[in-house]
This record gives sequence, structure tokens and C-alpha cells, in this order.
Amino acid sequence: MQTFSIPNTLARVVKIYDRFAPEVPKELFSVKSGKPDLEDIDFPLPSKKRDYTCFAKSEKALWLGAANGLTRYEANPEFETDRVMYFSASRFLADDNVKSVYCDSSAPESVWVLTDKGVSHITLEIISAEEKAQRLHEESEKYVSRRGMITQRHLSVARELDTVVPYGHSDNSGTFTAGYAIGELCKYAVYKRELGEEHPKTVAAKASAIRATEACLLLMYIHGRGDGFIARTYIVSTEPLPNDGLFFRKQNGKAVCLNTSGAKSRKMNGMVIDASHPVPERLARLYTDLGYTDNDITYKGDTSSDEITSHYMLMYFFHEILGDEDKELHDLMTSAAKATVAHILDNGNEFIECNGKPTTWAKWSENYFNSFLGWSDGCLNSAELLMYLKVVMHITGETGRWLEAYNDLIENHGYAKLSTMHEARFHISAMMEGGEPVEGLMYGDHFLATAAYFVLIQLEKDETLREMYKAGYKGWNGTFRREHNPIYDFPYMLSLPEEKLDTSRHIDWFRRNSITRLITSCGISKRLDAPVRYRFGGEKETTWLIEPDELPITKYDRNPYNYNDIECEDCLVVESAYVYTFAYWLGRYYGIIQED
Amino acid sequence: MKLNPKIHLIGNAHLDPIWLWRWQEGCGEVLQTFRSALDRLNEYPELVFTCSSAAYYKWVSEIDPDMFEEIVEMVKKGRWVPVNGWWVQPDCNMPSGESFARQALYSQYFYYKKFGKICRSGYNVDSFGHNGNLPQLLRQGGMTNYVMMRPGTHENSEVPEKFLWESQDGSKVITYRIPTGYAENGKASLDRALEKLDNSAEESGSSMMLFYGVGNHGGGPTKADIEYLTSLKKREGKPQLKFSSPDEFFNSLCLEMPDLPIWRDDLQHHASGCYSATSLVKQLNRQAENLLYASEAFSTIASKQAGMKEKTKDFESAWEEVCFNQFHDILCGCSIMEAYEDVKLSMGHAMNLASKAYNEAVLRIAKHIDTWVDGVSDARHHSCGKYPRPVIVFNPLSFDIKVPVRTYHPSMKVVDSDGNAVIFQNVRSSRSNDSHLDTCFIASVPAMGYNTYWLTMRENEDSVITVSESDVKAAGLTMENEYISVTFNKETGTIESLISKENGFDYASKDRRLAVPTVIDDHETDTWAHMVFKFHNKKGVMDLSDIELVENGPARAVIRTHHTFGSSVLTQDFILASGQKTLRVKCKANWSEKFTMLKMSFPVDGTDFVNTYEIPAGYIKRPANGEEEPAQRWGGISFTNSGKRYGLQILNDSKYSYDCPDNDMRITLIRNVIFADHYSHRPAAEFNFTDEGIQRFEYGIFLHENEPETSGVTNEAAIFNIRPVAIPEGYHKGEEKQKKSFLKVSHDNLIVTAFKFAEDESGAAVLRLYESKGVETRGYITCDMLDCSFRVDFLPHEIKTFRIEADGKVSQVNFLEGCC
Repeated sequence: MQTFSIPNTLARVVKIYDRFAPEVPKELFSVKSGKPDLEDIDFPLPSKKRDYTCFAKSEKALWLGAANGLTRYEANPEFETDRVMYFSASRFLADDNVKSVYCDSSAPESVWVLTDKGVSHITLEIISAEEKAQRLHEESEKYVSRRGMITQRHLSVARELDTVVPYGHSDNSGTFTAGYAIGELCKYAVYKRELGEEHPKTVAAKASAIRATEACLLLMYIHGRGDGFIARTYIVSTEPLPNDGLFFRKQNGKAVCLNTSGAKSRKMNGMVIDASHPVPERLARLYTDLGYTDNDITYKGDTSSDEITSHYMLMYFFHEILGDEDKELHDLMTSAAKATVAHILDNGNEFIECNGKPTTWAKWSENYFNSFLGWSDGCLNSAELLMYLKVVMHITGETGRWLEAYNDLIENHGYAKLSTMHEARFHISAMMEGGEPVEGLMYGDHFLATAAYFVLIQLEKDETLREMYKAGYKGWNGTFRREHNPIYDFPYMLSLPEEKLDTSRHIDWFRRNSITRLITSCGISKRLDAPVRYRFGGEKETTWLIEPDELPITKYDRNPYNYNDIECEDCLVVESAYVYTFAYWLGRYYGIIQED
Repeated sequence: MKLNPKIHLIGNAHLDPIWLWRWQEGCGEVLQTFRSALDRLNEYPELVFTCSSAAYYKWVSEIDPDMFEEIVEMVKKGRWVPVNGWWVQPDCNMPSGESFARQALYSQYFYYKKFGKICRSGYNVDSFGHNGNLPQLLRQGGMTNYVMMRPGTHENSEVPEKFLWESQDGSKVITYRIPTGYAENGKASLDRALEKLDNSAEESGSSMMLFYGVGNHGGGPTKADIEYLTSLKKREGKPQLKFSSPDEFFNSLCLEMPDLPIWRDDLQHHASGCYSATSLVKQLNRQAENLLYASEAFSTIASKQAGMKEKTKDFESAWEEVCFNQFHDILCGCSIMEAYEDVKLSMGHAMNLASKAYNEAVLRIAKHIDTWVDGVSDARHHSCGKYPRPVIVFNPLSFDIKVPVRTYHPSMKVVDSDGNAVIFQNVRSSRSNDSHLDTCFIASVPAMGYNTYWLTMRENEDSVITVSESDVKAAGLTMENEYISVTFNKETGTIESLISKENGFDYASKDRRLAVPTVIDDHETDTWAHMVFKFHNKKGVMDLSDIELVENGPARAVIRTHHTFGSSVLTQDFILASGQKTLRVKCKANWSEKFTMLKMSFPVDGTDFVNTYEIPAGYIKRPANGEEEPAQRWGGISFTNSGKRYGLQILNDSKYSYDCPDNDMRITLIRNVIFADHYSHRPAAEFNFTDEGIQRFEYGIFLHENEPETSGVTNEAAIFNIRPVAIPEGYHKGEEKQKKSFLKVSHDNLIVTAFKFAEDESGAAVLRLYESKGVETRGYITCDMLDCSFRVDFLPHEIKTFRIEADGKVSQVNFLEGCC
């Protein structure tokens, strides 16, 4: 297996001031640098050389100002990807029109940037990849966590984390929190291995891992339906009610479907259903400790396969890492795991809403696979259902019905074979849509494929089936390989060690990820070193993979080559840290990465 | 949910513009066939007619514009469906990657301008094999589907009927292999084909295509066949018949949601003899491709920098000729002898256009270079030799080179633009006049740029010029330089020792010699060599008549051999030049052995043999199984010896055919069979043979460790083919330095294949590159002249085209340049 270290790196820290703020050095207004001489620079810059109007020299680099942002140029960088760095509004600058640049001596790389609308103070701190993970973790715990769910939160004032509002549900709270929880579980395992069980870091990591797992598991119980259903998310009575999707308000052992647009379109508004099955006390404490009761709960239904797949991946990791240490939680998990799989099997391999119809996006049935929509989905979904069954057998030690179902799906319904056919079917689907596969892709599917195939390959002992799952996994590599994202590549490397990947790209990914998940806009179309690429179906992409700290902050569900600028002058969201922490701690857990 | 499969009836007329007839007759057939097709379309409202090849449509648009308008109307109605966005149905092995780009560019743009749309289905039903990079070449040309027929099941039974074909970069096209024929006609033939197709449709559960219509020499759907097929539409219990087109078939196939296998290989073999038959046309093709590349690149530069008028139309005209001559029966060398007289004219026209533009471009650029020397009394003051004469060397390649350059005058010394002495040597000229000497010097020239060298006719006594010691040494029958030491056997003229000085490995030995000129008996095949895939019937080895060390200087050493076989002779100059990794072999043969092949043999010692061959914009791995393989500018063998991997690659300037029985790597240099002989009974006649007479060509020997793709062999082959030009220049002031690069590409595995103006006459420039080593590459490109500098990521084997607007704004487009 390929292993590597991640060296310490320069992390961008920015603070934006009003130009009259006392912190702003006077020299910024008086410095007259003139135009820089860039004749010897033979490397693409985000602005034309002649358009740079001001500059300053720091210890290592030239800081260059232009009307479309700030550029840092380092002639002899340790890493080639650091040669040119680009800083644009609103992530780093109040606006892009740089008027003056001044480097002070407060830090080796400390630069003040005057633009039309304000002053930015940018410093590059040297931190380790682990420290970055810790900072992001702290940010998420402090600003993003919502009763243990780590998805995203809204702000009242852009860029001001302390103005975070106490709500901000996501359609996929379960999915994103599961990713976060797996990262925390891996962190705990690493600290326990390296520092010992009693070390404060280990203890804290364990607590964090358990809380995130509890938050996920709660979604499997909170609806009170008692039929293996899983809620997408939930809100409490002090949070505003959304007007999309299907929401059910619990009230005295019943739940009523709220009058949302989603409910109306399905004619389910006002429907009253059973919610009498109790939420296990340990899990309920996530809201009862805050003073809420069951009657304060509104949960979201119409759950998709995304949620379920992520839950089962989490179950696999929890079982491996904490299963022996927290029997109570493990028991709650195994019960829920069995109930949900039984729900699926009992309903013809579909996930059923309270109206007796399948949810929109949780179908693993042959009927669905033979439909236009499901034909291409079938390859991933067949792997998902096989994975759920494998996980249930693994964490419960039971076979019986689960093994029968697993074998039946493979032998009589061709699910294992179907799981190998993604590449061809997906291509043909893209042709039907008139585009290229990367244009028709739901980018979140990369994560789901990773979860399904990785866990299957980990658990399946039969060589023939393992080879089929590997072949299926390879079929996804065609679209995710270009992302160089460790969360896809690490499980892939573990599953297919014979496939060599470029780990230098992973080092860059960790080094150049932001140290905050605060959503801000960042310019792509205004930088001249990044041409646009026109895809067959008309989508626009960049011609190269821009480093993460110069890309929009997203979850694992967006095309990183997307050429469209994220224009959010009033960006009012802080995202979950799981994108980084999941990848980092997974890599550490499996020994793929070590601290330098 | 699954849709019922159908049989799509594809009315077509296979048209060979040249084969057993010359192009004038082919052109006439096109006009008659198109007229006939229009008539049938008017008579039968359900009928749909499919036709490829933009070249034919252009003929019709020029010769019979009224009929062309009728076609336009039929295309609008969807009754006439142009397919294959290429100029003709070319050979799909030998044209370069750039040629395939041009096949698409000029054709699709023509279709777009005339019909308002481009072709989505590639269609080469008769081409004799299909290189492994075609999926990418098709996709980049705007096509998503592909129809082919050869190899047939009797030649390669593993190729499915319907499949996703994937090239190494990951591009895919939905591909249909015609399981019957491309020109079924007559009731019996149609019935046979339908029976087969019905079975296939039933087995696969998805639709099939029936290609019907009189073909090869034109024709098209007959009334009888149309009426017969119409009558069958009422049949029951079998797939429904539908007059259709390939586009409609593929759309329908997708909706049928078939589970298609993925094919990740090339599609071979059909006519293995065609990789080498008729050396003339193959040499013309390579020369034209090379010249057009260099000429376009420097014409673009000169237009931007030196006031040259854009020559886009000239290049379009030249490329159209080249694309036409890549038609499978032409480039494969299997047409009648007379047709190649037309090919010479046509390719001559193309190369003359390119040559003139090239000359104008470099002279215009040179005019801006400061070559002034104080004291010179006039701009052409060199005849007395008092002052050194400037010679500007232009490098059209996208990477720096250091290579021997020849000028047609002797010199006393050579210095570069910085005043440094340069290794040079006076070598025997081709003329028998004045000094009988030319100058050969080692020039270092930056990527897509120039360097100025100063050649002194007479020693300047006031200056002391020292030439750094040369790495070239020669004695007896041994030559060596920094990289190679080679020793010849005096009895056979073959190589008995070939040592890579980088690792000390000797590729030859006294009992296993290399460069063995081997004559193969080829009398049992036809021109195509149908159903013959190996050429191993050894007739003999050529005898050495003379061997001599003919040059021994600091710039190069040359050993010349003369071999004979029957009444044929072969002269080889083995040239080892200073600092060169390739041992260049300049050959002249006077060949008269009928029904023979000449192969140059390089048996190596080792195990785990793997062959690697250059294909259009890429390479492919092959087992060393002795089958004749198509290749482009290089091919060779890698093997294990004492636990290490070594490789020997054979470069060429005009050949396309190799084989490797076990350890014996061979390039096929000559194939001398009867023109257009299709296993005939060969009546008594004075037949003409494809390669009889004088043959001039070059091959090169390149040694490396590990596998060839990472050895730099592609760059070496580019140098071998696209050589710098040296322009003797006058003395003048100028605003440009004596050394300059106009374009910088960060990595030498990102190889430029086109630097041109966009066809839409917007003034935008177009730059195309491909990744040659099979490694993912983060690169960048800078071009001050175009005011642009940008970064690019290449996947392994990926081709990328950039459009650079006049204001420096860059976008990535496909072969169609954003024009359509």
C-alpha cells in the first residue's frame, strides 16, 4: 500500500477591516511600489503581467496586486502548487480591486491589502495537517453542531462565525454527520493506538465520535414509527419550519404530516401516522438534555438511499472501532440496522413512506432498475443493498434471513453482476442526456459508491464476489480519479492496492485545504490562468484542478472543476468540517498518511 | 419497460473514390449515385439515405450546385443523413493524430456550414483496422457513435457486435460492428443478412442495422430492394423493420438500455499487408503531415509577429488533399498503379502550399532578427568570408532540441548567438560542384523558436575559437558518442555490438547481430495480404558487398554498408552524431525482388518481451507474437535481462509496419507485390509492383531502460521526422534577439501537434497538444506573442485543444475549434 507524510504547510488566515480601522498600518496608504518587474516570471499568473499595479516583497514571495485580485508568487517553492497563489473576494478580499500592498514584519508572510471597499490582513501560518484537522473540528463543534448533527449552519452576518443562528438543517443531515462521525471514530482509533486510551486527546476523540454516532443513530429512531424507517433530519420547536420536503410533527405518540409544498404535491399534508415507538433514552438525551420533549420534534421523511448508505458505512466503522467498548450503543445500532434492512426486504427492496409508496430516491428493486431512471442507478444501488446486508451480518454475527437475502439477490437476481456494470450503463445514460458522463453525474454518488464498494470489499471473503466488487469499484474510477480527492482515493487504494495513484496530489489536497469552512465567494472566471473548458453537453469546467483553498467550499457533492463562480456577496453559511476530517483521519487510521 | 428491438434499414452506397479506378471516375460515380439516391428518396417517402465523406459533398456542391440544394433539403427533412464527420473513410491506422483532427475539422465545419449540423456517428465500414485511440479522436471530432466492419468475425472473433469502445484516455464511443456486409443487395443477400440480424437482435435483446444498397463503385438502394424490404415490414414474430439511419439507430439503442461490453483495445487485423504496401504513398503522407505541421506553426508565428497574411485557406486546401489521400484504398497502397500518379500531384500540391508558406514565414521572422555586424558594408557581405555569416535555425517542435543541422556550404568554424564555439564538421555534399562540402553543426534551438549561428568561411586570425571536445569517436568499424557505442561485423555488415553507454548493456553479440537485412517471401499473398497476419517465410539475408567508415569527425561519424540480394541493392549510412541518442540510418535501395518484403531485424536477448508501437497521438502495447502490426513513427521491444528492463526502439521517417516473432524486433521497409491484386489468378502480364525501383528512407535505433513510453522516444521520433530548417540570412538590424522561443510548454510529454489559426477567420489561434507518456501531468503554457499564459491538467493520453482569442482569452475546445 502506498503511504506518505504530509509536511507542515502555509495556511491562509484572513481578517478584513474597514480602511479606517486602527489595526490597519499607515504604510499601506503611503507605500508607492510602482508596477512590478515580472519579466523573468515564466509561469502563468491569474492576471496579465502588465495589469499588476502594485507589489510588496515578503520573506519568501512577491505579493502582486491587480484589479482582479491578489497574487502571491514564490520563485522557489517547496511545492510547485505553491508557486502561484491567488486571493480574491470575498474569501480573502473585500473586493478584487487591489490598490496597495504592504508586508509587515509581524509574521514571515503577513500582508496588508488595500482594496476599494476595505483592507485585508492575510497571514500564512505554518501548521501541520493534524492541526488543521483539529482547528476545523473545533470550528464545526462550536459553530456547526446542532445537537450532535454536523452539517451546516447559517449566520446572521457574513463571515462572522459568532453570529451563527441556532438552526440550519440539511436534507442530508444523516449522510454528512455519518461522514463526520467516521472521521471522529478513526481519530479515536489513531489516538488510542498512538497515545494510549487515557490520553486527553483520546478521551475527547471518543466522546466526539460517540456523540456524532448517537446523532446519526437518533435519526433511525426519532420518527417513532417502529418499522425501520430513517429520518433525513429533525428540527425542534424553536427552529423555523421549512416549506420543502415531507415533515412530520410528533404529538403525543402520533405524527402529522405538515402542510409543505412537498406534502401537498403528494397529497399527504395532514396525514396522521403512528409515532408511538419510544426513542431510546440515551439517544433522546441529545434533545431532552436541552429541554425538548418528543412533542417538540419535527422530522423529515422521504429519505433517500444516500442517508441509508452513509448510516451503514458508519455502522461498519463503529463496530470495528468502538463496538466492543460501547455495547449499549452497539446494541441500539444492531437493532436499527436489522430493522431498516428488514423494512427494505419486506417492501420488495424499496424504502416505504407512510403512504405506502416508495420514497423518491431509495429504491433497490428490480422494477426500479428496469425503469429509465433506475437503469443507470441500479449498478450503485445493487451494491448498496448488498452492502447493507453484509454490514448487518457483520455487526450482528447473524446470518439466517440476511444471508439468504444476500445470496438470493446475487444468485437469482444478478445484483453482484449488476454492481459491475456502472461504467457502461452510466455512459449510455449520459448519451441519452446528450452530454458527457461528468456532466450528468450526481457528484454525491462518488461518496456513495465509495461507501458501498469499499465496505463490500472489506467484508466479502468470497474471491469471486470480491473481484466483482472490485471491478464495479473500478468502473467509478473513470469519473472520480480526476478529482484527486483522498476520500475517494484512500478507500480505492485500500481496496485495489495494485492501482497506483499519485499521492503528491493528495499531499497538495491536504496542504491546500482551507482552515475554515466558512462559505465565501471566490473568483474562477476572472483568473486568466484558468481557461474555461466547454464540455460536449455545454457544461463549463476549468482546464485544471484548482487547489481547494481557491475553490468554493462544498460538501462531497459538487464538481470541483465547475467553472461557474460562486457569487455569494452575503454568504451566510458555515459548512461541516467532515470533508477534511473524514479524509484525514481515515488516512491516518489505515496508515496511508503519517504526520511529518 | 424494455423496448422491442428493431432492424434499422440503412440505405447507403459505398463509394470508393479511388481503387480500381482513378479519382476522376470516382467523382463521376459520386454524382451519379447522389442523383440516384435523390430519385429514390423522391419515389419512396419512407426511404432514408445515409452517406459519408465530406469530400464527396464538396465535389457535388461545386460541380452540381442544384443537386446539392436538393440534398440540403433532404438533410433538413432527415431523409438524407450525412455520417462520419471526416473527409473520407480513411485508413484508421496510419494517419497521425493531427490528421484525424483535420479529418474532423474540415468535414464537420463543412457540414455545419452547409447543413446547419454536424455528424454524430463515425462511419468507416470498409477501413482495414482501427487504432486504439479512435474513440478519443471521434469524440474530439464531435462524434459519439461508431460503425465499423473490419476485422470481421473470421479475422477477430472476440470483437462484439455492439460495444462501448474505450481509448486509453477514457473516451468512449458506442460502436456497432456490421456482422453482415455494408452493401447487401438482391433478395437472396437481403434474406441471408436479415436472418443473421434477426438472430442477433433476439440474442442481444437490442436493435441491429442492415446496410443495404449497391456499393464500392457507388450505386445505392435499388427500387427492387426498397420494395422488397417494404414488403417485409409486415412480417410477424420478428423484429420490426424500419428505414433508418445510424444516428437514429444509436439513439434508439440507448433507449433500449442495452448492457454493452467495454472494449479496451484496438480493432485489428484485416489487411496486414497494407501497413507496408506501396511505400510511395506512405512516404508522401508522412512528409505532408510533417511539413504541414511545421509550416502552419511558423506561419501562425509570422502572422502574429512578422506581418505575414494568414494562410488558413491555403492550409485548408492542403489538408483537404492530405485527408483525401488518406482514404483507405489509397493510403493502404492497394489501388491501381495509375491512381498513385494522381496522388503524387495531389500531395505535391499540398506540400507546395505548405512549403511556400513555411519559407515565407521563416524569412519574415528572420528579417526581424538583429544580425547586424559592424563593419559589414552591405547586407549580403559574406562572399569574401571576412565576416561570419548568420544562419538562423528554426525548430518547429514544442520542446528544445540539440541536433545536427546541415547547410550547403563548407565552414571554418561555427559559433552560436552567445559567441560560443559549436561542434561542426564539413561533410560530403550531394553535389559535384565547387567545394563538394557542406557544413554539419550541432545546433541547440529552443522550443518553437530559433537560434542564430555564425558560420565562418575563413579563419579570423584575430580571434581564438576553441571547440569543446566532441564525444564522437570512430575507428575501424566502431563508432561511439556520449550515449552509444556501435561495432559492425566486417563479414555481414550487421551490428555485433551495440552498447548503451548510459547503463553498459550490450544489445548485440557476435552470434546475435542486429540490423540484419532480411528478405521475406511474399508471393502467396495479395496486395492486402487477406487472411495473412504473419510474414515469416524467410527467403534469405542480404549479402554484404562493402563496408567502410566514411566519415569521422567531431560532429558525426558514418559507417556505410552495401548489401545485395538477387539484383537488388541496399546502401545504408549509419550516422552517429554528437550528443544524439539515436543511431540514424539513411537508406537507399534499388529493389527489384518481386513478391518480397525487406525487413530489418533486431533480435534481442532476454525474456518477457513486450512490443510498444506508436499509434495516432498515443502508443499501444502488443504481445511479441509475430503478427504484423501497424505503427507510426516508432515501434520496438522491451525485455528483461539480468533482472533489468531494457528496450530497443526503431524509429522511422516513412514506414508503418513492424513485427516481432518472439525476440526478433523487425521493421518492414519494403513490400513489393502487384498493385491491386486481390488473390487473382495473375494472368500472364507485365505487372507493376508496389515498391520496385529506387527507395529512399531512414530508420533510427534508440536504446533505453525500462519501458519506451517514459524514455522520451516519442520526442526523439518527432525530432527524427520534423527536422529544423536552417536559413542563411543577411546582415541587418532588427528588434528581435538572436535566440527566441515563441511558445513554452512546461513538460516535454505535452507535445504540440497544431499551432494554427481558427477556421472561422476570427483571428483566434488554436493550439493542440497531447500527453505522450501515459502519465497524468500538471502543466502550463505561456505565449507572450498571444498574450496568454495558462495552466492545464492532462490525463494520461489526453488530447487537448485550446482556442486563444485575439485578446489572449483562452478556452478549451475540441477539434472543431469552437466553430461548430
